[in-house]
Amino acid sequence: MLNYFRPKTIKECLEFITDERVYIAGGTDLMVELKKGHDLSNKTVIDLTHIPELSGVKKVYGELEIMACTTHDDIVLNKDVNKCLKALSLACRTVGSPQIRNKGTVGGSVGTASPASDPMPALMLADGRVVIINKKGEMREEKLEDFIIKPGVTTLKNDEMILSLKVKSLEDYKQSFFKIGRRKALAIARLNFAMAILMNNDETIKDIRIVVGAALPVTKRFYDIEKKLIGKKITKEVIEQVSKQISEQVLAIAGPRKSSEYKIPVIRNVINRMLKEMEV
Amino acid sequence: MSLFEHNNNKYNIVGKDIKRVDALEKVTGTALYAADLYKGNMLYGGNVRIKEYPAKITKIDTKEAEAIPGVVKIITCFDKNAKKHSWADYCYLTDEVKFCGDVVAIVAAESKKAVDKAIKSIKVEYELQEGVYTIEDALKEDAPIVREKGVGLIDGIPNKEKKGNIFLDSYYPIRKGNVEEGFKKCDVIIEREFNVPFIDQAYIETEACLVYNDPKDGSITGEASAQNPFFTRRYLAEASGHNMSESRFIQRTLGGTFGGKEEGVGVQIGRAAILHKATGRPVKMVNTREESLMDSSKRHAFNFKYKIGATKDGDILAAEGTLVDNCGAYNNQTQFMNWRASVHSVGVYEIPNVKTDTYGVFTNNVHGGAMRGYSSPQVIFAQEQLMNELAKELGMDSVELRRKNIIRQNTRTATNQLITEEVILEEMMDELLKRTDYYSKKKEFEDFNKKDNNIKKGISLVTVYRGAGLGAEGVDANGAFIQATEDGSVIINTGLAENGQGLQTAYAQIAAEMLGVTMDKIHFHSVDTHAIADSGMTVASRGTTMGAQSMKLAAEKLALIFKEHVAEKFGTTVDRISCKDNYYFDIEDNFPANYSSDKRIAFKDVCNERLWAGQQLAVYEWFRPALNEYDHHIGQGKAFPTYTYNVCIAEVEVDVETGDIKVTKVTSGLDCGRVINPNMVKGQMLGGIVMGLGYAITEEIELKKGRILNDNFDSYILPTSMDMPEMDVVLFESETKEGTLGAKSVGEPATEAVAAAIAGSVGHALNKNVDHLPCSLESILKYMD
Amino acid sequence: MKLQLNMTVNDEAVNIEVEQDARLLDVLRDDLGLTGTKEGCGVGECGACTVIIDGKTANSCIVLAASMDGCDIKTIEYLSKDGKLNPMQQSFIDNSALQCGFCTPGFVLSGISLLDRNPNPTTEEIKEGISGNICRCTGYEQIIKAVEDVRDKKYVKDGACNE
Ligand code: FES
Ligand code: FES
Repeated sequence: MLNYFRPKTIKECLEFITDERVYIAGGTDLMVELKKGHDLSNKTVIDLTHIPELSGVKKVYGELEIMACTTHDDIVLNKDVNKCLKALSLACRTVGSPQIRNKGTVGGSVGTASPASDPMPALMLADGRVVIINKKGEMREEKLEDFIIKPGVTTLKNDEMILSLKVKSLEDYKQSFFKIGRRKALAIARLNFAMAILMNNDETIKDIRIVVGAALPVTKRFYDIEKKLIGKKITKEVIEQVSKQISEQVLAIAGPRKSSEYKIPVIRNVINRMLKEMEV
Repeated sequence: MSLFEHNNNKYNIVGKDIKRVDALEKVTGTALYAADLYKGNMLYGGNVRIKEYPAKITKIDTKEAEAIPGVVKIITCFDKNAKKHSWADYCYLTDEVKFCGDVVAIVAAESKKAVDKAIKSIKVEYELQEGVYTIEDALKEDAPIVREKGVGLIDGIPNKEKKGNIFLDSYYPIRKGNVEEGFKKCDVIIEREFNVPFIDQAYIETEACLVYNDPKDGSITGEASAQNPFFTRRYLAEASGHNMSESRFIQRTLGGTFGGKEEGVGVQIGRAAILHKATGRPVKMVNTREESLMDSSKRHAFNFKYKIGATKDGDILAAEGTLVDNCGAYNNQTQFMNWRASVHSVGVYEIPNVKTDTYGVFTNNVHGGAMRGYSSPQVIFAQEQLMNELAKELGMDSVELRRKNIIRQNTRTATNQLITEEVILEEMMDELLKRTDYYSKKKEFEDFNKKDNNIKKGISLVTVYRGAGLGAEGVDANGAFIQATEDGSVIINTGLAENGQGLQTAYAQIAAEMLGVTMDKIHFHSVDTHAIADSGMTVASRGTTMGAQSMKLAAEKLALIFKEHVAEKFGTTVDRISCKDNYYFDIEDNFPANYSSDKRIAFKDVCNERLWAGQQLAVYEWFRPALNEYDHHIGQGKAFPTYTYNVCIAEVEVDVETGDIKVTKVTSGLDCGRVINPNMVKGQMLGGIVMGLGYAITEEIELKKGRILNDNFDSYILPTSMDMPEMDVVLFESETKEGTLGAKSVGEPATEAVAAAIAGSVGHALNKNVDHLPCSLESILKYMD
Repeated sequence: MKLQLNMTVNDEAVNIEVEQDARLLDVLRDDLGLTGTKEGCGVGECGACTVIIDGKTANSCIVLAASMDGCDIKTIEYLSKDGKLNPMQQSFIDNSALQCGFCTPGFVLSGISLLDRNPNPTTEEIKEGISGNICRCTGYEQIIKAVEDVRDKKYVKDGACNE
């Protein structure tokens, strides 16, 4: 039999944490799991949706702290996110449907570690870190890349919970988000992309960030490729080169599977296109 | 021919935008669908299935499940008393699992939760057997045999002398003229192959039923979301062991069917009846979406191989084809559906020499069945791409090729039927070409596509026709009952079912029109098999075109009886009496401008007088159309009494870098004979377009060894409001003597051409032959390789 | 083990015991008899089960009933509680925005909620606003038209037509 708890504060919540804990952040994923036969008996279900402290966006020192239970819809409407991390607003707007966006939360989306998560590329774009608290009240922070191990698996320990996500403000950056799905709404990403770029006055790249999701088990940011671009101009050759490198890297990691036939050329095409759009 | 116009109409109610009679309960949420029914002491039922097929069940252990609190009854396929095989091809319970929907045990429990638990704790042991899943494999010489009754091919023709996987009853040849001779005279001959997958009807309401004992008449009663009430009664009676006369079926509001709520609901109600019989308590069964996808029939997957030839001027002289569909493991539909496929196998074109063979093969998949269009969407997809390819090969405009070869009045179809009625296809084509500005768009798109864009644009026109009603597939007979009551309100009843298509409203309109009463006086009694005689199935878009005939006859007859009554009172003759807005009057009195109360008599007063005078207030009428002369051995003769014509133009933008397709516009023109209710016809057309869009781009049942991989709406992808194109629906009216008040079919023609047109425009955009559906992201990238 | 739940449903206080893992959808339908809320998929992908929770739409098939303690829930039955139709309902009837009707309660609620949030949506915004509801029958066009008519104030609050 499942045990259901609904704390009103974070402090209260920590008290409920047991080894068999399962969180409800919006419930959109958990309830589906439950239907699909996921066994929750003997689990402690902790409902996080009624903890006011766990929702909202704070802006501090060039950073945004997005509390774990902020819904996708809240993010779409949030002015700070719109200003500092436009890519995330765009991404959240493509999540599921209005009903799903009203319930689903960013913390949930990160916690379930779905490879096709829409907010994920945008969060990684901004050096996203997960803020974690344990039963004892101890906090730790971890980079998203490190936090997510593989689909459905994170480093979150049984006595921990996600408190918030911290992202860098990319206010001055030009940003974009692109999603390919099989339809225009209620779509699971077949691929998704986030990109941000900051230019110097001399039209060379000051900073660039490129993330591809749904292509690999874990959403990937291409740090090495980004680094090499700094100081360069966005020329046709550069664009060609970057998109080629990224698609090759993905192929190297994913291997020649059936889905690669589609994804590899498309990654190249889309990176190419997004870079071109960055240029203008 | 004419474009439909509201004012060009001699009727008061027919042809008008009458509001749906069932709208109020639907917007308020009070309409009762089968899953909304509850009864005291009710049990919930559930099904136990396995996950691999085919398999022979060796043992079922129910001990643990029986111990679960709330579990009342478990019946397995080894239970001697339970009925296992149904009168149709399907099983209520079986120890020889042939496909994913087969059920090996059923459970009844006090709560849904207990049912779920029990299903999980029942242990089924089985021996897996070798299966066959694709058309190609099923036709191999050494393929495992799926069904005893399957036959093999001898000289390419299904023959019962040989074992194999072909469903012999579903074989239909067409032999017209001499194709060898025809091809000899052709300058251009092409051969193409096409494939389409299984898709699901995907009505939003899953199958549901409630079975209980009604002590009032000692009957077993079933209520369900069934499309064919009398078919459903047959399952109910059979599974429970009751006489038909003791088995009562009541149809509940249907949450969509599109052909799908036939055998699936029948088998479900049979299972519920078995559980009811064993427990003596009401049993409710509601499919989950996953079960609905596993268990309900699909639009058949097809493989087409065509050869077609024409002179260099574009005269098509010969066409040859093999049309093979995947029937799945059981089937009682393919034999009807393939007949329709064969009749339409070379499209709406006059071709002197035709040779086609159409047959289905058994596989260990979910079965094909009816889905809006009944084989036409598949055949039209292939046939119309073939036309585009032929035009390309001829260097001819594809619309002109069609124009040259389409069926016209006094020409002959593939089955050699002489079309004697007015055919307005060419006028429809011209109207749609004009409306869409087809040729300038085509040129504009082609110029645009020459540039180095990631977007390619395409436009394409398809022409189709469709035999209305059942035709030579069966007898299109039907009955209707009309009953006036003393307060002037009228009850109508037929054996055909409201499926959401607006049948109730159309029938009410016809009855109101004939009687001269207002719509609010007509009450449609939905089907109760104890209250009306069997009228066959509500299928093949026959509800209005054919099914309403008896309603019209019944209403006409009642109207006449009443007019005689009034004529006698007025001391005049019947032909001078008319009724409008619930009042009888003498037509020479120019009602209502110039009436006084003594010169008119209210409908309700006539009813009342007749009641107390012991005079007739009700009429039951039966309609049976003339039988068509048709030779099924060579597929020649009169296939259908009348045809519906449709022209569809689709426009698309394809992102060749991602495979994403945006259908920008679909223009669809339909010759519906007479339009009974314009808004509802439009609604059917609009819905048909979006359904066709799903077929074209996203929908496909993904199968792996008979297992359905995409078993819910997260992975079986239906179009949303953000995927719909701009739509332009154009209604045409033509003269026909067949069909109620001249109405033809609407429901199926509304969707059957759409996927073909979209695929054609994708083909145009990419300059490729689109040889399969759906045009998924992946397939677009492949075409670009 | 059951759980005590206090919530407001269609303006009435509801005090009910539910299973800990019960879905809101089942509580509404099976326990409260509010069968206007439908189930089409059970996984949040069709919108047939749409209800309004604290002013926002949600798919009740993926809402844990237990988490509704203290929440305000409105279902389709709320709209015509006083015997009059809501303008959105009237507009659906007038625009033939329904066929089988199974999706209709969900669409009506999504339409209302959209206009609550944005009284003047463009057609594109309407499409987005109803994109969590699947209709297999109508092709959406007449539904969109129905929402547009309410947006364009063709109806006054009591459901009667302005024009
Ligand atoms: S039933 Fe809830 S979204 Fe489909
Ligand atoms: S009216 Fe049938 S699903 Fe929308």
